Amino acid sequence: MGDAALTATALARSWRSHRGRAIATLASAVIGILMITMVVGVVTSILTAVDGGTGLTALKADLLVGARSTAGIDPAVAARVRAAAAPASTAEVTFANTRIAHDTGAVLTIVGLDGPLSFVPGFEQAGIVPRGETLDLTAQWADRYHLKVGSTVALSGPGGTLDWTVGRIVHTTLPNGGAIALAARAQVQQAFDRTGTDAVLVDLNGAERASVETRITAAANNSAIIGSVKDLLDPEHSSFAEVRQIMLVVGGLGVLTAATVLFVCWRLLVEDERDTIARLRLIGAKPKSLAIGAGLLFLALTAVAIVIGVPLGWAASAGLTSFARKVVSLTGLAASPQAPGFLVPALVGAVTGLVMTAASWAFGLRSFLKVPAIEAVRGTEASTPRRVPALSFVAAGVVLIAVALWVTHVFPEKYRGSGLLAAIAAVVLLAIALPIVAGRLLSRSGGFNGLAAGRELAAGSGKRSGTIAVLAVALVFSIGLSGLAATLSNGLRTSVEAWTKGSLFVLPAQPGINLRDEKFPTTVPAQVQSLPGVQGVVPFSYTAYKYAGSNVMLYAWALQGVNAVVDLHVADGLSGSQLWSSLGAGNVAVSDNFAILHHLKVGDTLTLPAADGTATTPRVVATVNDYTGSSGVIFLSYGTYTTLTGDPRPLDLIVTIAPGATLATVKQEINQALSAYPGLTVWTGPQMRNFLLGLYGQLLAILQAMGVFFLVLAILLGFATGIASVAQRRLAIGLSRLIGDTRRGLSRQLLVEAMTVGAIAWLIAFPVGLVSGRILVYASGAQSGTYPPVQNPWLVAAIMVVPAVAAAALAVLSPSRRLLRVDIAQSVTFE
Amino acid sequence: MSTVKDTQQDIADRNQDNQPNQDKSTTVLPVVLEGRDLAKRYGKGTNAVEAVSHASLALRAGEITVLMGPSGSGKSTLLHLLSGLEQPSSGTVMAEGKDLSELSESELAAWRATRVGFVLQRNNLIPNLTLAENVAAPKILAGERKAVAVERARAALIEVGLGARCDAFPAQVSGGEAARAAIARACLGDPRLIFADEPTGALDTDNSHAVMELLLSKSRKARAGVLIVTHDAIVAGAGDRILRMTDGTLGAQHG
Repeated sequence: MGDAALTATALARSWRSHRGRAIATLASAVIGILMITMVVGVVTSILTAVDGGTGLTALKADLLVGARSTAGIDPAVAARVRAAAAPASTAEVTFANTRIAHDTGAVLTIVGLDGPLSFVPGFEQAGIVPRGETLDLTAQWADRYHLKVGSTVALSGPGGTLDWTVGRIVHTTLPNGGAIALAARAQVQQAFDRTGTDAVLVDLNGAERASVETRITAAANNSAIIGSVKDLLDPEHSSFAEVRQIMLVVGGLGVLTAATVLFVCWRLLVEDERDTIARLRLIGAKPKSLAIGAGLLFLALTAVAIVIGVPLGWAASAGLTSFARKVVSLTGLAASPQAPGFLVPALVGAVTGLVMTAASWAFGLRSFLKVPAIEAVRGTEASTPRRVPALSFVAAGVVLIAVALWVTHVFPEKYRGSGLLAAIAAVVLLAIALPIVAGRLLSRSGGFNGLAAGRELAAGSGKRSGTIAVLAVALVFSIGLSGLAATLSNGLRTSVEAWTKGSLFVLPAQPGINLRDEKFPTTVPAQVQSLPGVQGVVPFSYTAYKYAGSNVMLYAWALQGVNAVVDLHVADGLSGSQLWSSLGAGNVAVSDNFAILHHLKVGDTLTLPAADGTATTPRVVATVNDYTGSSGVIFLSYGTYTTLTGDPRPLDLIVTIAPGATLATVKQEINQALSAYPGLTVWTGPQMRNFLLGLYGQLLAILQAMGVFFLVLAILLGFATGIASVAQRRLAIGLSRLIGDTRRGLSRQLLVEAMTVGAIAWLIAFPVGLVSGRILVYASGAQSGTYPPVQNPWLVAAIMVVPAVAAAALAVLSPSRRLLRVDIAQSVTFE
Repeated sequence: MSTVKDTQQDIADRNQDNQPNQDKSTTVLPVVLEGRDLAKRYGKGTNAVEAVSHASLALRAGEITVLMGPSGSGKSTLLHLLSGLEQPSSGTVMAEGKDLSELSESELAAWRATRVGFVLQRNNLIPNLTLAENVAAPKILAGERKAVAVERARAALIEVGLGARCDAFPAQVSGGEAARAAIARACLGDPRLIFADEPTGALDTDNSHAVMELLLSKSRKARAGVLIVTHDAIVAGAGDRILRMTDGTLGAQHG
């Protein structure tokens, strides 16, 4: 072990004289670990909040029978299920998503229970289920809002607010920051105007599970989901399939790029320390000891990177709680994302760091062990410039880019991401060939420095090609993420614009904040219609509906007057009045991604179980370009929606104003008429659009920020390799000065070389980056089937030349200045 | 070209034949470079080391001066001072009437490109340039058109027996060939001064003789003032005068 430690020490000390390289190596490892920790933290925060917000995680049962939609299971079905479950004991639960009136942040999920407290173990210490308008709270939540036993708390719901009394406060830890309360089910139903049951809970009491499950399934007749808490939670997770996929793709790209930078830095270290390695071998170090020694160095590096990267990543994910809140708000759940637990993100970050550095170490080991002992005696021999068929490589690279583009147009959507392979292969070939071509052109320019610079580039250095390739890849991902962000943004914008054509939008609470139970009673549309200045009111509702294991969105409009306020972008099938008439007849339209995920086309039928145990089999009459539902959207008439969900209450009223009336006046009338709703929101069409797009805006901003991360990695790499390439030219630079070249001439030569490298990296990244934007759209949509029309970030791609060239130039500035200050004699003297 | 059996005397005799003046003792050759009371100290205070101490030396056109001494005696340091590669701690170096310490970096570079040739022990050539480009490099730096300079370089390489290797890269040629290419570069364009630091130090006996003969004949033909640092007695014997350095001090001249 002594020789391994000796190797590690010798290599580690070399970084003292290559501080820039050491910093770049450590920084890249830290960034990779930080990114994956942050991504996992954010995803964990979202999923934990959603799980808690459903109320399901507070429950304990051997089996659950869960409603397909937020309207709940029909009472008759629930009764049949309970009867079929005997002799197992059962209870019914109705959840209510609410908030403290006038405090949009103080959300709360109420578990309305009718049955033994053993089904809600966290509240067993309370002794009995509360009665009347009484709530049992967790100490965690009560303390936050300064509530005690006996306090009165006003909660919002249909019709305004209702006062509840705090019954007991239990000391238990529950998800969602403890924002889960217990109340009597009958009280919850009355307070929140609910008739359905959200879940029937079954405690087997020793009965045989399979037999009970069979009886319950028959009784439910497909109107409900039967299984464990996890089975009921999985569809909720599907709502975030797209967001999760995007974040994981971005995190994965970050780790890949960081690992590549790490690998390049490791190779550079090997090149710099060939003398050291050769001398160690000369005095008897065995290859195995050298490998272990290098591994020890990597282990130390990884440990430091984990210690720095994991807490930073976790802190970043905690700082993104507002982003998590926005993502979760779209579910309408009373979910309150908290800072993620430390353990899971830390573990993933640490393991990723170990894998990343281990992979870099392993891939570079061969070149490390190839250094022969004889080099300690005779020095490193100069190598002849390689002969590379540069023009053939350029042609092949161009063809591969065309192939990548072709794949993204022709292959089935799910497999278009495979175009990335051709794109990366193109980057590698062009990174080898383009410097040679550029060098040949440059060497033809007049003057010694042009000749020397051209020859240096044309020498076909593997290291330079590697630098260009990695720099180009970092730029590619940066451009690609811009393309992804632009595509998603455009897709969302066109989707939202399609259904926000009304004059005013009236909601019981602000979109993104309104909870599942914040809906208007069925009398409100007529009430608003009767107001002066109002020409038409189109009620709209939506709900998450469990279909084929995921949460599908149901969007429903009342048909009268809908043509004026909704203009869906139909990809195939009926459109306009014909579409609405057909929906009125009980048919449906589906979003693109729904059709892709469920292999449907216009004319096919699908079976939609209803809350009452029946089912409808509507025909698909159109597919729609709508990109707002991760698991897809089904467009229905209000009547079909009510049949499926049993819930006729509207979420939103789309108002058109009469000729001669003004928006301001009508808005005022509505505010007065509906003043009982503390969270009432009346917005114009542009306000509505801007807000909805803003909900997604933070995700898109994060994508853009990730693009910057890749640029930083690219710049780090530029610095690390720029430093290396200059330092190894010490002899050539010294000789040039010896025979009469000036510092200024050489400085310009090095700058031209560096800027050419940066420009070549950009030249490769420009087309490949645009193609990769398409690839990222298809990779991100692989789970959700969401493939908006691709938007190419031409401007961003063009502007990337500036940081590419600037980074490369800056990278050589300092080391070349240092090197040119060294005495000529020192530069050329053989040691 | 020398053969295996050439001796010190043979080399000296052949070079004697190349001298324009047979009588060395009576011809006064012009001084092309003079170092006066040169000293070079490294470090400070009690850690200071004086690598060269009070050295004075003049190089004359057409004269070959050999500087000998044990390792660490300061020979190479003195060469660096005289060639302007390092600044002396004290003393002056006058080259063709100009004090080198008063020249700007550009002026020094131009002086090296046009008036001076270097031949080193090894690593003479810029790795990514061909032999022809390496030889042409100083002339291109001096402002000559690249095509013209390269043509002249090719002719010079033919003269030293490397006509077939003009387009080879340094990694593709032997040590002896690289040394000959360095000589061709140093002597191209009739330099005033040639500095050679252990030019045969990395070569076998055969190549050493060949390279030395080439260096001497080309430099005499160019009528350059030549300073050769060596500890090879055979090489030393070919010079017009031998100077010895011991512990940084320049001793009396011999030969």
